[in-house]
Amino acid sequence: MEAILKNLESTSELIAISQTEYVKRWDEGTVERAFQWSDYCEHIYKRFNTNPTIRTAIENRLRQTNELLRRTFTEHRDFTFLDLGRCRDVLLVSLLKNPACPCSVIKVILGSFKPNDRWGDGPVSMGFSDLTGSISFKSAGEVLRATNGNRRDTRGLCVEPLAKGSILREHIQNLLSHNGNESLVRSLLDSLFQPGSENSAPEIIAGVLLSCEDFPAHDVTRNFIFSWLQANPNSILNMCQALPVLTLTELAQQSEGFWLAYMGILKNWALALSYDVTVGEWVASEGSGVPFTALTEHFRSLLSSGHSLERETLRELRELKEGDGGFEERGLSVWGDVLSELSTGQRLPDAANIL
Amino acid sequence: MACSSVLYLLQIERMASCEKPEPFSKTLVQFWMAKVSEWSEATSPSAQLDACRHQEKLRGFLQEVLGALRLARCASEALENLPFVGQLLGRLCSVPCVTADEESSSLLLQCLWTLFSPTPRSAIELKANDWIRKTMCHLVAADEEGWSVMKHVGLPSKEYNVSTLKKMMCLLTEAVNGGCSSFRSPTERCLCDGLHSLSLTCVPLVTRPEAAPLIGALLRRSVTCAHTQLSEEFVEAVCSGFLDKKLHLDVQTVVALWCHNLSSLERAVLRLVSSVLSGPRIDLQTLDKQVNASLLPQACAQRCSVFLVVNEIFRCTLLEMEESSVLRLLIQSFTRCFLRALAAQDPEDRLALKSFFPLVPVSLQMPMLTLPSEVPQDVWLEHLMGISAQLQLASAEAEERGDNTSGSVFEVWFLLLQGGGWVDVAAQLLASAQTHAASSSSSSSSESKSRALLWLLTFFYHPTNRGHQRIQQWECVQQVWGDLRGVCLSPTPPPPRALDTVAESLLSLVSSRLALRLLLSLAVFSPVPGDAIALQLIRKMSEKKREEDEKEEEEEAVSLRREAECLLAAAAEHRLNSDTLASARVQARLRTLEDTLWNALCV
Repeated sequence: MEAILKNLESTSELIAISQTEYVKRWDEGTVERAFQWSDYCEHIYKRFNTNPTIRTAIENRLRQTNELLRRTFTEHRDFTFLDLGRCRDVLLVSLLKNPACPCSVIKVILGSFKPNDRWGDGPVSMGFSDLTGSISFKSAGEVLRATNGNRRDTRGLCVEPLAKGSILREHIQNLLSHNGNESLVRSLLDSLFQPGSENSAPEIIAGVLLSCEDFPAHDVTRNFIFSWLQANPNSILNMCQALPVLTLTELAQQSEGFWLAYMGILKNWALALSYDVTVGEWVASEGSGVPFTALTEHFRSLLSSGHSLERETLRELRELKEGDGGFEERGLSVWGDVLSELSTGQRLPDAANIL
Repeated sequence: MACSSVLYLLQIERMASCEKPEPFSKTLVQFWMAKVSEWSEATSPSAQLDACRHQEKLRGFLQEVLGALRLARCASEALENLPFVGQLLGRLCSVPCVTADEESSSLLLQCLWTLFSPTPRSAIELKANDWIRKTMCHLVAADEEGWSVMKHVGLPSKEYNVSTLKKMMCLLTEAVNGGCSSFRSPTERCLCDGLHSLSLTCVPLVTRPEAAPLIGALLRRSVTCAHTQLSEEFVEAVCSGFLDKKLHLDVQTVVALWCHNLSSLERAVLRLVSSVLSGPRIDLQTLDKQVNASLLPQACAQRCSVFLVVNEIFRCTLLEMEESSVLRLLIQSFTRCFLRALAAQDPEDRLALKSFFPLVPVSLQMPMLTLPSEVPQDVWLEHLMGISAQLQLASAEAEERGDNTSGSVFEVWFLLLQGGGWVDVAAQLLASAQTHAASSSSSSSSESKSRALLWLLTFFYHPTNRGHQRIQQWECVQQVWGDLRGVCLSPTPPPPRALDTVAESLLSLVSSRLALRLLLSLAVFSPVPGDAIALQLIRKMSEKKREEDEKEEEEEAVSLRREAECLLAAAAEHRLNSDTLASARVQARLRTLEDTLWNALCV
């Protein structure tokens, strides 16, 4: 174990140097060894990233190393545990971006990109087999993304967040299948919803949840995430604001807790509406809430979802309407008006039939 | 139907774009720079399509650029010779459609590598180096803003990109497969009208192996749901990619493609025909492999309609190129592969032969479509007697009904051509028959059998009553055959004048190919010493031919040579059926014949 830690320490030092002016002393042999060590790091990461004890040990060692390096190099960028998994990419980018890196070294690196059909003199072990492959995969993804950006599936999500969510789900599932990783997953989810990156968070989380199928392993992941969401109500609010109605309905079907939270948010939004007699419409106060039409759409989707969810939502709506006095006239209860909006054009099932 | 000018279409298939202008002329450079600007600025699907259409030519241009860069002694010189190269490469690297193609990506990287100076000696080289490093960063690094799955899971970019693409393809395929249900209520709209735009987006990715399931799903959906409209560009890209062997499709998908788009089926058949016709020597096993690789026999076995179209195309082609013996061999090979594909199917899914050959009397279908290899050798003669009798019947009936029924005779003749093995067997049996004493009863029955075989061969090479000379022709053929046998099987070597007479009478036969067939069969299969004499006759005949018509010699000689090649190839194939002793003898004779023919027919 100590040997591994020592190696990782050395590699992080190498990476650090690759970002400084000392890299000008490097030659072909050095850079080859640097990439070999990076490859080694990637293997270590793959092997041990689900093991909490070893991970903690590695993180501690890396933290120590980073402290030392920060003292030596003023603009040192911390080398984290996650960076281990992508070590070769990190090294490559550091070298490419560092103006002090000798041109001869860059030439050698660039020449190693296609070992099967080598047109450079780079050694095979540089480890960049098939960079053209990687680039073409990335571009193919971009092509699909650019032209299918607005294509939503039956559950309202686009293909890209679903794909990303699926990759993330596999990772979380992997972590949760080993003991002791719960806090790591929680901090992963925390980081997802951090300020600044909130834009993509709802879709990615939805992607993770919707990529869960009917397997026990997936259930564990799904339940974990839903309970994390319960503990972070702001995230749920975020999701309700950002995600399409179909997706929210789908998520509500998956978890009763989510449905309750969702209903709570819808209630708050409804309470922010007040009836403007002059216009004859429900309007949002101070532009903070959601317009009446949008609110109705949320309920419309919930009420066409399927039996038990439909039933519960309808019952809830009716109770709320009763709570407001049960009037049929327009403008007296937002719930009554939502219900009447929904019943035009769609025959709602009788109370007797569902209950 | 396109086969009215099949020859013309075949020529187009063979013609490559032969224009090769000067590599870096001003107009060419301007053209590419304009194109590249267009592509890098627009993000609409139509700009993408334009990039795809030019992909092949772009690769060619990049090869030229790379070549020129390699010739330069240093980067400054390269940049001086090709001042446009920086902008060109930079812009191309930012067009995903271009970089999605692995070959183009590779060319771009190689260009960048060649331009990078390990020891920069001038300001311009330093600048170039900086620019290349930036471009590489952009290509390689993930430039995702904010929270990135890749970084937070700790995946290398290659693995991440591969995963993402595969998953996206998978999701899209599932969406296509699940989007249309036959149990849907009539008021509900299936989502298949969205497939047009989806198919358009797939055009740049058609040759990627990851896209194969999606392509299959789209094509199959287009056949099952009437609301689906696939983009023409997509169908064209799939068709060309398949024909150029750049993408591999399974039989189901190919069937869907051909059912969806008739012209793609025509192109597939014509491509097969032109590649076989332009091939070097004929080798039956390679031919079968080529035919199977085109997936035509397998598709035909699954869909009767596909078979009928393919057969129709072959018929038209044959009518236009009657003299092509290679085409005949191809048709035989195709039928053979088709029958094998049919036999390989589940008995429940298999259609009756009747559906595939609707215009031929049922009584002829089974006998003519059973391969000789499936019938024991001692039964061959009987089998052929049956076929010959049926054919004579059919032919006589047609004659009675008058000239306008030549269609049915054609169908029967075409079937004989398709199941061509039997004609080869007939020639073999005819040639290897021994002479019997003139007066024994068995000889008369064997004579009548020989006559039936001879009739079959004559019918094969001269099916219609063109010129209304049938009876005369038949008399002539019998006479010639009698003389030929006499000469070849006489116990004493025949005098040269006798050989001359026989040679002349052979030449007078309407069908020179029948003459060639008879001669070659004798040379290969006749009991000793018939073969030596047959060889002499061949030499004589070719000399006479050369004397007589010098002008038309070239074409005639070439076509005769091809015919001979084909016949020998067929004979070589069928020798596998005979016993080892005989086959060794046949093998030796074949070799002698090949040498003789090369010398005799191609001076």
